[in-house]
Amino acid sequence: MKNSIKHILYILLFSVSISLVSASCSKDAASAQVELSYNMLQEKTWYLDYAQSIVGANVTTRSYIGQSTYFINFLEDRSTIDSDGITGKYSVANTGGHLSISITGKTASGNPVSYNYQVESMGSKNLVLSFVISGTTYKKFYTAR
Amino acid sequence: MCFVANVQAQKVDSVAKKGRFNFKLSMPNISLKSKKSKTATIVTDATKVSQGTIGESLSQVAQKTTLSVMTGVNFSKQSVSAAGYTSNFNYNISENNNDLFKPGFFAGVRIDGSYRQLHDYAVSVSLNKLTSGVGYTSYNKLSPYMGKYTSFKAEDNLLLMNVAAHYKKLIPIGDRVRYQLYAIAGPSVDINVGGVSTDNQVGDTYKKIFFKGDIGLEFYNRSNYNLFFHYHHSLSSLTNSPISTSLSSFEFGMMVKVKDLF
Repeated sequence: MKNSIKHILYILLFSVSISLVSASCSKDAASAQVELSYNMLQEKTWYLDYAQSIVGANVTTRSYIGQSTYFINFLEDRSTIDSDGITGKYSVANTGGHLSISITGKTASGNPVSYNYQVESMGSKNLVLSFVISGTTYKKFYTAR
Repeated sequence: MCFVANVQAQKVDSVAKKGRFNFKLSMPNISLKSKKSKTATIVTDATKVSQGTIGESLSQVAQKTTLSVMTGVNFSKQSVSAAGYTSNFNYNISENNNDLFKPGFFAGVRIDGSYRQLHDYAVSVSLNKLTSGVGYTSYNKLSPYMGKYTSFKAEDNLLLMNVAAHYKKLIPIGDRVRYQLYAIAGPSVDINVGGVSTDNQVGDTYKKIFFKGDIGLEFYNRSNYNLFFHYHHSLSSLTNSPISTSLSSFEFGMMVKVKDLF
């Protein structure tokens, strides 16, 4: 009986060892966040639905639903084009767990421009970006269509 | 046994070496040769004894236990409460909520035995491919822009290695000569061998190992196969705090004794 228990224990130990080795291979969280961000962003056109300007406790919301609105397209080759005619490259970065999107491009008239947005929330259909200018926080709510 | 025999052989050899050292002083040469040949005999005998012991033990195990292979279908569902969990990502509840049991399959091996001819038990190792339904019990809202959403997307596909130890109790009903019905209960451990999607690598949300409690019924007949129905429920959360995820699954399976197959 002791021998049979010993053999069963050997089988269990072997199974657990194999499983632990195979389960221990995974990406680190930071690179996974960037990869997931690109997957959610790219090959979609994002339309601006709402814009908020926040100063202290004052929140002003403007809706663009049902109107001709701003849109931006993020392509798989990491290039971007928006409704204002700005073309360029975009990249996603993870700084201390906070995601940001940087866009470097030029206007239709050839002037260089660059933007940096903080990612508040990102999904396959909903995107919330924010940036701060002169103490005012601007939040942009986009929907992929 | 083999190890002990080798140690004995080394002891004899060391005695022989001492003997050689002594030989220069007083011992005759013939004494050394006879001890060396004795050493060789002991090692050969020990090997034979060792082989015999392993063979005997395997034979004993084969007599006392039954090795079977098993396979079947499973149906599983996760219940998720992700209140308090935040991440940079959002998932629409309406697109991800499937609060129903979804089908998967499993296959493995199992050893059935009896402890002192009194307590029946089964130990099994199986690979389970789960396609799980997911029910979210909590959600966030961002009106008017976004409806119900969650920051955690539960894995709907899991590849788990299940190791189970079950106690079996014969239910005294019917014609027990022709067939037997057993009730089983016991713990099992699931090891996530398939990893998780990028959505869950982000927050390292899923645990690699979690425990389940199992109950079920097993039907043994005189045919080559036996049937079983098991219900499993996780004893702890599949995910790390603050997300709480429970897994319920039931499986219908069939097992065949290996000696009937080969």
